Amino acid sequence: MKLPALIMVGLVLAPASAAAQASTWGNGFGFQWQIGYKSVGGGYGDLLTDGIDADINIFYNHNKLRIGGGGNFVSLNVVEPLQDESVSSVELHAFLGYHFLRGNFQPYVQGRFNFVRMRPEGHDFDFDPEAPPEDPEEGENLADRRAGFGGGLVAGFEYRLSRKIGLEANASIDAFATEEVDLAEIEEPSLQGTFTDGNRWGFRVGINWYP
Amino acid sequence: MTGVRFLAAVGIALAGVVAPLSGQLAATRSFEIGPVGAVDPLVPVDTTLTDGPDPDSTTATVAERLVAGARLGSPTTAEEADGPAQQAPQGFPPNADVWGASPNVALGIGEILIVNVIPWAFNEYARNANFSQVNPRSWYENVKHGFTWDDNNFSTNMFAHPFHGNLYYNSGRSNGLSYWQSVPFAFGGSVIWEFFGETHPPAINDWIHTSIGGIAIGESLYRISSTVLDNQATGSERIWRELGAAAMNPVRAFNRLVTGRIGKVYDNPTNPWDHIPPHLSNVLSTGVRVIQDEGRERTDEEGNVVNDGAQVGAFFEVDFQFGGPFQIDRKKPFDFFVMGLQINTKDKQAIGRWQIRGSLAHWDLKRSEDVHHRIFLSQDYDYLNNNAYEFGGQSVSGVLVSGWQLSERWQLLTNVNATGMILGAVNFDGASLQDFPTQERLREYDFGPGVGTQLGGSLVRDATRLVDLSYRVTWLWTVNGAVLTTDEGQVEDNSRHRIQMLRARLRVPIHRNFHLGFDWTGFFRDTRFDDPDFADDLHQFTRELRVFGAWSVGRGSAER
Repeated sequence: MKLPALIMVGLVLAPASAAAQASTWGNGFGFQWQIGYKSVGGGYGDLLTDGIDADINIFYNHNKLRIGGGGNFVSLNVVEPLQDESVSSVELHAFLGYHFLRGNFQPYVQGRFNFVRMRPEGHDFDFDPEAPPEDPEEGENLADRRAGFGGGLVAGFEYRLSRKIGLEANASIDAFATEEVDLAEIEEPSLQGTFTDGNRWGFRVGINWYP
Repeated sequence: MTGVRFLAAVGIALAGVVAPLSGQLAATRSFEIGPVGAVDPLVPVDTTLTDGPDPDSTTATVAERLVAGARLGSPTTAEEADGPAQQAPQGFPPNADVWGASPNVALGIGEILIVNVIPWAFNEYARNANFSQVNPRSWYENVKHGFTWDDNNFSTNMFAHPFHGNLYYNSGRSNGLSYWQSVPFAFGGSVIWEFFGETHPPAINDWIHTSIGGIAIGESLYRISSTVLDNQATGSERIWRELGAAAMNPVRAFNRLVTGRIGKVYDNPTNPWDHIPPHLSNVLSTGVRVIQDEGRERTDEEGNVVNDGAQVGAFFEVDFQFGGPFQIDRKKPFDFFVMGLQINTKDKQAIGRWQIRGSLAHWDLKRSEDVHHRIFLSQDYDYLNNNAYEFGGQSVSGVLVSGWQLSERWQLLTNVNATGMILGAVNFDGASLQDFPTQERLREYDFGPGVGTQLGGSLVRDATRLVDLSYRVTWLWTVNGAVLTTDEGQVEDNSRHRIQMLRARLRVPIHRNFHLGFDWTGFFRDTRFDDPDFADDLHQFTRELRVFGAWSVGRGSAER
């Protein structure tokens, strides 16, 4: 009985306390580095499993709003029997967030618009390895790539350690659709079909820096 | 005169900065900046002054004094040479530098990230490169793998990377930090890219050349852009000056923009060495070059032979000198530096030469009426790339520069260098067999540290260098490369390269600022192996003859 009461008291008092500190935190630019875990479901879930992801952003705080953009990078594992293969997901995103509180504790929710690119990292997905592109440039990836768009939600909180530094933890979920991936060229009976969409969930922790 | 100086400076920017950015990464020849070349280590590029010598100036060069009848050893005190003490412009915080930039490490770090994101995005989205799929897995693998070597083109490793390093450096330098305070930005920005900006294992050669080369290029471009900026200018002149400086130093322009200084009218630096030094010269040369290689066959990336017989082409050359070796007593890095850039036609790369010599410190050995001996510690950057040979590296040199006043009109300038090459590179066909973790091409050059020496002399009459002679020798010990395939498989042996360059140049004055020039350059490369049974010694001899016309643009006094 005591714990719910304390939570209630905290929720009542926190906004006033945060409001008092908000002016000291101020608005301005910040950098964000996060690392976490991401799992794939939906259509792509039949091909990809999960991976460690990193999220790097630059943002601007204006009162309770946070607007920003950045990149999300993850190397996704492939299901058996290609478990040694991996697929790179490079995502550029823009986001708009609302912080329910300002001050040292800032729970928030954030909407994201994502531009996603999926590219195999190994050679199993060189769909036509016998006929590489003519005159490939140095560093050109012979494997195919698929681009698409998606959107998602991020919910979490930031705990400000000082005017310069804050810790952050969040969970995320998103859906995306890409150009079609057709695995017909891969001579693996258990991995056939086409893939065009999927969803992902994950969680991250990180650090915010306010220069 | 202001316009001429501005145009000359912008010309350097266009040749040295804009062209590489537009994809004309390239290269050619020459060892001009050798101990006694046009950009010989710490020897004036040219002493012909458009404004004419100022005999009363306390900062006049040796040649200026000579022309004016002044004695060579006339004392130039530190106070006279340095001008007023450095201070922030009026209206700026006291900790701001002479250009009004307050120290801002955070902004500099943020700019490093931006400087890394731009090429990453280009590789990922424009090139669809196979090394830009970065993620925590690649970062972990790179950290676990540690440094290795890579097989990029010579121009990529020895030119493009140092040029990119200059952006890291200027992220600190143009944010109110000094030369030494900005050094960590060059090393830090590069190491971030190597470990986290690409999936390829980090390359130690990239880190060294990007960082140290970036410092040399970065400080040079910072100083050159300073000569173009004028905080007192308004209107269209101000716009053109800011644009010109931005072409040379985009990071600095960005910082002037975000701090509001780009359109603000405020004081220029009071010390000329922070703005426009009393001696500033450009020598623009153009002419014909004939280069002939003997002893080996070179091919381009498509396998075409590129050094078949004598090759004739045109060249355009810019030799820039900031300050003078005997002028300055202030000991800030690059208060005196020389930079040479050569663009070639009919060669595998457009940019055939980019060399920089910047003073880090100096000490007087002797200073009298007739002779001046001064020792410099200098930072050197070399990039020589043409159909016949490739040579470059990052070095630190001790240089003894001497000036003798022979008569009222004649003067002799000499220099003797001892050079330690931190990491150099020279063409060697055996390097193509070197195995790399992510090999994509056959590398055509070896990496290794080295030592060397340079000797040079110039005969000067009436402030014009009529005769130049120079000799440079560098020994490189291969630490990566020099692999040969035998019946027993791939065998690696310790190899040593001796690179010698000899040059003679003659200039004939035609009119006040114009002269005709002739020079001959010999490039000798000898490669030896510790095990004489491993492979035969290799010898290469390349000779180049140039005939050119040159135009000197410069100034001899601090007044604008």
